[in-house]
Amino acid sequence: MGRRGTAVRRALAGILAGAVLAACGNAAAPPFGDPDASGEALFRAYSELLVERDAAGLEAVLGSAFLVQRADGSRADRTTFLATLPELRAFELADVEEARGDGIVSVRAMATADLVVDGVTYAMDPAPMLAVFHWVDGRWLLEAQGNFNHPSR
Amino acid sequence: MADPRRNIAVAAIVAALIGAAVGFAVGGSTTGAPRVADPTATGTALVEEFMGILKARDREAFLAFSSPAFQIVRADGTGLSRDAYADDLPYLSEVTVDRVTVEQAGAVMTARYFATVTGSTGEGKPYSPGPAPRLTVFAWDGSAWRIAAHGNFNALAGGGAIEGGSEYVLDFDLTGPPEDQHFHDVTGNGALRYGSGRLVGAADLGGTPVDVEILAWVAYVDGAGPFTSFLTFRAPSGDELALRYVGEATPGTGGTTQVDGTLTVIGGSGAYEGVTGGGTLSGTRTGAVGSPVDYDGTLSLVGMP
Repeated sequence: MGRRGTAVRRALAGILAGAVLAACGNAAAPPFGDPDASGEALFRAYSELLVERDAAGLEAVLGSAFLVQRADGSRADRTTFLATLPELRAFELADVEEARGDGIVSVRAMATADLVVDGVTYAMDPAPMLAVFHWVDGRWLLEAQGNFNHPSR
Repeated sequence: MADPRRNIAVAAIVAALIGAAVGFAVGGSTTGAPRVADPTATGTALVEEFMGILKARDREAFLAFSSPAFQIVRADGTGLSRDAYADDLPYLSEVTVDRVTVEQAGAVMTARYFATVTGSTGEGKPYSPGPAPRLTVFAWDGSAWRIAAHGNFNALAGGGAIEGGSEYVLDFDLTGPPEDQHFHDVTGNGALRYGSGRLVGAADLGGTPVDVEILAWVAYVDGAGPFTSFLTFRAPSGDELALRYVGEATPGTGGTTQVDGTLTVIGGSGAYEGVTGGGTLSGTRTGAVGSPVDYDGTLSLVGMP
């Protein structure tokens, strides 16, 4: 990536980081123990754990069937994901929709993220995402995530 | 259109048979979901049941098979709730599902697989042939497994992520010159193999004969794992179109390996200067990494000569 591209990425990262800080400022306690927590609140809280690289927090949130699937065909199960955490520097969500039933909350949105996975930088264009949370023993667990983002040019 | 009542009955019978086949034993879930003896077998049956309902465009059977939490998300950013999807089911004439991986956690099963489809969305957007990844989640509702979420990573042709792009079908074989293969087998039995390699061959790109080269870096555990590579199309004029190609290798049957990934244009020269776009590319390799690969895929490109 050239210097211009780097500058653009830094500028976008700054804007997104501001959005994250604003969101953190409004956040109450982590919502994972709240049966009425919205899907957006759950996914934001999970993403903030990634930004903070909070491995212990993530270990408590990821269900044992957790699977992330990416558009390039790569995937990670719970063990692999925790061993090689993606580098999420900042994120923003738009057009969030949720549905719930059978102890499940499904969340979909357009996500903009400053993200590096296994050394590959992903595009900062808005891309679809899907997340599924499961209520187990008084707590929401993330069991699946679909990341439709593509690697950056 | 099939009789909805018959399909609901069939779906119920299939669910009951799956339950009987796996043997019910209350797991750790508070909802008393069965502990599935073979999650991949059960998950595959559920995925095939879902695809059968879609092929039949059976609205009532889909509603009976789906959870109130159901949502679908597609690669073009569109998504639908349960009711909206039921009212606008896709048109599928052919569906092939393979490389299914399923995990169960109490009342939830997550399934990851690849699907090759012929057809279009309910809104009329044609699917690229694929194979493309899918992510499907099933939830136990107290009496049966129901589909709770579906992620369809198929790049929709004409109206997908690349607006105004022209479609190009890719079909070529590449071979690896032995002197260009630099792989380490640190365990001596192929359990961990990593390194770099170069594959070369020829193809047709929109009627232009081109040379093809892939420069790849891989790290495979038991033949599976991610790869990062660059693909170059070189026209007889010397003009080049450069793409990033990243994805994952998965062992297949009979000693084959399946590679699947996405293509993204990163630049071009001459007639290809300013071209943008991307697509998907899948290949089948028989033999160790560095052996010949038979590739098929599609590209959606803007600004092609």
